[in-house]
Amino acid sequence: MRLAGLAFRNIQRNRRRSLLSGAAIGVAALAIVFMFALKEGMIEDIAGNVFKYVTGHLRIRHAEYDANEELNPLHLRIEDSSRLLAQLERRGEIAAAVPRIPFFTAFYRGERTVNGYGLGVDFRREAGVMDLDRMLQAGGYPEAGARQAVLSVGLAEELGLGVGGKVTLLTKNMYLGMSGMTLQVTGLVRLPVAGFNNRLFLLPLDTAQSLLKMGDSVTEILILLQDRGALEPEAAALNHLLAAGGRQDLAATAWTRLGSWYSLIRYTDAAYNLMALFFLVLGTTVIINTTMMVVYERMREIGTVSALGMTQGQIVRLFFLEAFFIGAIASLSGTLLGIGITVPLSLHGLDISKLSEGMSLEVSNVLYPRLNWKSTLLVFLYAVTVASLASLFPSLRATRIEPVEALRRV
Amino acid sequence: MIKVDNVFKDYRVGETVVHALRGLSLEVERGEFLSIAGPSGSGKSTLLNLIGCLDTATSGEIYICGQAVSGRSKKELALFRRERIGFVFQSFNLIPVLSAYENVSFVLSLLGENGSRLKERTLGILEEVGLAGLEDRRPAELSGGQQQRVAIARALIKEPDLVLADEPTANLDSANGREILKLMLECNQRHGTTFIFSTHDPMVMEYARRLVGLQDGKVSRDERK
Repeated sequence: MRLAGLAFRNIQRNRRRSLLSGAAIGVAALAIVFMFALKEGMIEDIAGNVFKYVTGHLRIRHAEYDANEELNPLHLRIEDSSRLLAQLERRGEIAAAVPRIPFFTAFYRGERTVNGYGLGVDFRREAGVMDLDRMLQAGGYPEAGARQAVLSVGLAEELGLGVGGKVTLLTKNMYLGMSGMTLQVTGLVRLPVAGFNNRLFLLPLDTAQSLLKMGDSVTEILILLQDRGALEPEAAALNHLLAAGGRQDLAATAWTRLGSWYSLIRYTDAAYNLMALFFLVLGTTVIINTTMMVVYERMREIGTVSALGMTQGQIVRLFFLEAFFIGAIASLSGTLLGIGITVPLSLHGLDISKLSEGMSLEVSNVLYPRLNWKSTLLVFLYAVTVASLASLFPSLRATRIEPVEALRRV
Repeated sequence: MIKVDNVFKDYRVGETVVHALRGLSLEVERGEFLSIAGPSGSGKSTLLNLIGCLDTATSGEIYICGQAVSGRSKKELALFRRERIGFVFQSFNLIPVLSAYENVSFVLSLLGENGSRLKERTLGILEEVGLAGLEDRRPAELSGGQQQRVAIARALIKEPDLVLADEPTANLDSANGREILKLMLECNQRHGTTFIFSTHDPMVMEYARRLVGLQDGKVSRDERK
């Protein structure tokens, strides 16, 4: 009888106990696989939303814009934006470049004033960046140059407007004077980011330029790269290009250096890893407890096999193998169950709209957990390793006892 | 074959030091069938444990087949036991998840034996101890006498120099006890294996070819029959 065979028999001695300790590891593996998939999905989702709606992979703005952003500094602008866009679009590294003008405004509805957040966009170009089709809930998108807008559903509800309705807005233009315009609502949109759905409205870029008296200027250009990995080199190349074109006032910045999104993603990653560790520690505690019980219950048997000539190393290996088998079976089952739960959710999505309501995070209403095979495999291997190593402490302690002492134990 | 030379063994129980063996000396020849008798606390089991390399002496020396036991590492002692010493325990101490066959062959597999030779030897020894046909039964499915026969087969299969049996009949009725003693005596005569067993059972002493009495950790009598 080989050691492995004996170990396998031993785990069947008390099936209920083996099942219990296996269940602890299995549930931990299942939870971690699902958590990691959720994390991957969430990070990918946040990153995707940040890229599409906030920063792009790279963002070109006036070098001083960010420091004054709260003041809506339209004068810190990108002049002659069409020429720059044409230059950018010629670069093979760039998948899309979209000009935008974000601005704060106030809507007037009878006696009521409602704050809004406008975004002047080039709908033709945005088709390659924003999910325009998925966003549209009713009506259609405005024509270029028309005094039209699409409203986010929350804003439309607050204004009491539907498709075809009209609303007047008042805002501060580039020269710090006041400008007003009456816009016709052509459609309603629901953005994937819950936080955007209460205040945002989109209007054609040239309409915004006219309203804000900005000529051909925009306040930012968002850039999506062909290769997200080439973030820093492309930022450097663009800054070089801007400087060479005499546009030292502008700066191209990688999204990782903008706002707190990158930190948020890293924090999310670390928090989930910590939670995973917590689950694993809980599972490990159960298996340590079980192995300890098993070892002390079988003390006399340890004395017997020691008398028969098994060395300390072989005895420790025996208990290690027992824990390994439980750990391997449980981890495999837990991991497979985790995959089984995650795969359908990754196809159909997990509706978290109730949870994300009112959140300022760029998290979509529907999350799609993403299985990362590397991390799933890592969870399996880690759970097996931890479960197996957990047996070492009690079995090493047990084998330090003299065989004669062990034989006396009942 | 075995020389116990002025061996002392002290145990510390809380504040008290118990002197289990007090300068005990004994020599055992190869092939002897020897019983160590004495009242509880006389040092029988302690002496057996020391000879079996399961415990170490406080002072003095034990030689088995001319080799000193003291100063060896735990691993060396385990390997020494594996190759040269067989044990029969009072409560059989079989591994409950293994069948009779596996309990016996386990010892051979520790010695690196496998394949047809292992099977042949295991079935042979089980037949010799009267367990042919019961090879696949687990300990729980065997009677006390049958379990002790498995234990004897387990002790003998590696053809050890020495078999140590601590009160081998204590958990058996007298009929089964007698059968086990007969079996051990037969094995002793057939294989020439040295048997040392501790007991305070008069029936066991009756079978012994040499009777060593212990009293207060010293040899009080030594009779050959």
